[in-house]
Amino acid sequence: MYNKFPNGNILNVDLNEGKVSKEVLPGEIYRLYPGGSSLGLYLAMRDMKPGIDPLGVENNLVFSVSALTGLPISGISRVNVTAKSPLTGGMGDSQAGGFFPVHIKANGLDAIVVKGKADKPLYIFIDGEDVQLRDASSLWGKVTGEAEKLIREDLGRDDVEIAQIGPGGENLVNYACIINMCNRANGRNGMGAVMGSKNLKAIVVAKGKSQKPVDSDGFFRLSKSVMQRLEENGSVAGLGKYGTDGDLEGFNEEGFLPTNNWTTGYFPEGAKNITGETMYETILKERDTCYSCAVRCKRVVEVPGMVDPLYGGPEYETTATFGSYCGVTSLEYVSLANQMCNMYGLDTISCGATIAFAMEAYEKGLIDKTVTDGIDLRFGNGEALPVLIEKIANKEGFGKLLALGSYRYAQTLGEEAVDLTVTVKKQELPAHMPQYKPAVGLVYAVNPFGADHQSSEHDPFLVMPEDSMERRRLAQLGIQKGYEDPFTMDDDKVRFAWDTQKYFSTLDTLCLCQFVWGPSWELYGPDEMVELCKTGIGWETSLYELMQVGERRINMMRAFNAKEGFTKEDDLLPKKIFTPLKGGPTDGVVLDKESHEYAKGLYYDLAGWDRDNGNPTESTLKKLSLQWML
Amino acid sequence: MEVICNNKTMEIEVKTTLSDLLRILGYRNTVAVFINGKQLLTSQIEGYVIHEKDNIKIIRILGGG
Ligand code: SF4
Repeated sequence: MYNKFPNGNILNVDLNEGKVSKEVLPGEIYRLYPGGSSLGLYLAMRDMKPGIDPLGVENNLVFSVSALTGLPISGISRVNVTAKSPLTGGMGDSQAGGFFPVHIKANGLDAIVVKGKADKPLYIFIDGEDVQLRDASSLWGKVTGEAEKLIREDLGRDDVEIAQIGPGGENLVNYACIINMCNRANGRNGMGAVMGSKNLKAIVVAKGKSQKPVDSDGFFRLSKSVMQRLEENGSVAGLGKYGTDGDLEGFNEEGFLPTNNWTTGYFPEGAKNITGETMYETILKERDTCYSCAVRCKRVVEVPGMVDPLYGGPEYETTATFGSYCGVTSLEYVSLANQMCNMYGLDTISCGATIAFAMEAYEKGLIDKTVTDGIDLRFGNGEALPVLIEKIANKEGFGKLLALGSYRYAQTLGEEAVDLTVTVKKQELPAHMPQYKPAVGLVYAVNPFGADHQSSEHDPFLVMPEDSMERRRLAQLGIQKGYEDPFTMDDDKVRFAWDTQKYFSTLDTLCLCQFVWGPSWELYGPDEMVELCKTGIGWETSLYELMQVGERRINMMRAFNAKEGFTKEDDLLPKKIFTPLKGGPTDGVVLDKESHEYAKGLYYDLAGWDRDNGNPTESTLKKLSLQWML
Repeated sequence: MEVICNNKTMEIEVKTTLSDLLRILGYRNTVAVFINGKQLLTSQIEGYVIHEKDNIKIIRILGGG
């Protein structure tokens, strides 16, 4: 039974020709790219040339799950979307949870590869062997909630899961996302715009049966322990109760809540209003979940006459970007902004951060009401958020400029405006400050698809005592050293950044939720991830092989980007991070540039990338079986 | 009695435990604690009884997500 890796089943959809075909990826190849982002990259890049237009017909768009997806255990239903990104110009990907992922697998598929462009809007419907390309002309222009309803009516059935774009994707907003369940987003990197460029409104899958583990006794030992794990794990239990927004007030009290476009880390007038605890006590209607997950961290909020529970509720990143980044103190307006992004299909991080940038540019006099369509763009104007989001999605008036993303828009305004942007590789930073978490900051800089907070473990866990679960798990990766504060950057921290980045990359390959599976605080640790592979699908693997899977993925993206002309000059944190914060407990705090640059050099060495240009060396690619990318 | 907590002097009752102090100060997140420069193990945090003049450093563990 063991040592045999399952074959991958790929659905190829050629929109130029209107044809679909199936392909079997042999197990020995699938094992190198065992799902998610790795599989997506392999399938997208094998016939994609560098230099193509991300929104042109030559870009390939891949939806992928993993060999493990659909097993009945918490944190196992994630879908990855891969394509060349219109936001970064490099290879992009993004993950989302919900129930859509598990039903891709239930239809016998590991990936759906979409090529070309349809001559009119359509959607793909998959029900086992039956794959249909159906007219979506009447759905075009509709927001997600409405389109969901119309698709169910069109098919005459309710037992489907739908991943779709909204008007933002149709109108090719650079940070448009893909939404399933009307509230789960493949948010980052503009994957929704790529889908829109193909005239593809939605992918719809019929619901099917979950995957059975090959070693049911061993597997159920893992899955049945979940309630006890939740009871014993305060961090994950708190995440379930208060959502990802539960720590917002803590960040504020420490002085590391990005506020007013990252000019300060302190938001005393608003933090309490927008934190997960306040959400829990006021507008939370219920907690929601993903397939088979006991954590139930997803928020469903309701504000009668203003915010519809259909569109879920804001995550920490969203309350930060529309709240503190924009100086907005109203949880209701933040929730409405979240809803509008889910309706129109926009990434909440890039959207909120782009508006925050525009607010600072407005306050500094770089733009005025003649540019903003008469909107008062001072920090704190919550009423402006829904108006701007609609304009962005429809690329109307000032919204057309904001739809470029903050960096590209700033470039049209000049150097002074560019200095106000908070991006890496043109992608807006999530709400974890490198000044507080320098290892996360390092990964923001070097990450191939731009700044991302879910690409490595966060520094504070190294401050836990050595007998803590967090530190004992990190020790399984060889990370032994503890710290007395989160801020220190040294050689061991660089190794922590690189090793946990590989680990998170593995999670994005296996399509595991990073709140349930991880290298420190999560419900299941490294040895249990290996156990999951063995008992779930009979994959006799090791932590070594799994870490290499993650390493391979990062290198695939970097190697593609190198061909696109990316160098270490693209691995730069924004100027703001090296500019002293103003006010609150972190007044005057900056990230030390010298130690950051030193860390980057060491990181390149550890990764096997050329120090001069930051790109993978030939031997690194060969070590990872990536000679085909040379 | 007097203790120093995160660089500030404060008065607490004799026999206050660390758990009491964390509750009084409103810490809801996971924390790491250093007493007089030495980190307490997880197993020691719960029942630790604070002594007069203890220099206590409490660090919130704020992760990702
Ligand atoms: S922890 Fe939250 S996001 Fe992750 S699978 Fe569970 S419900 Fe979904």
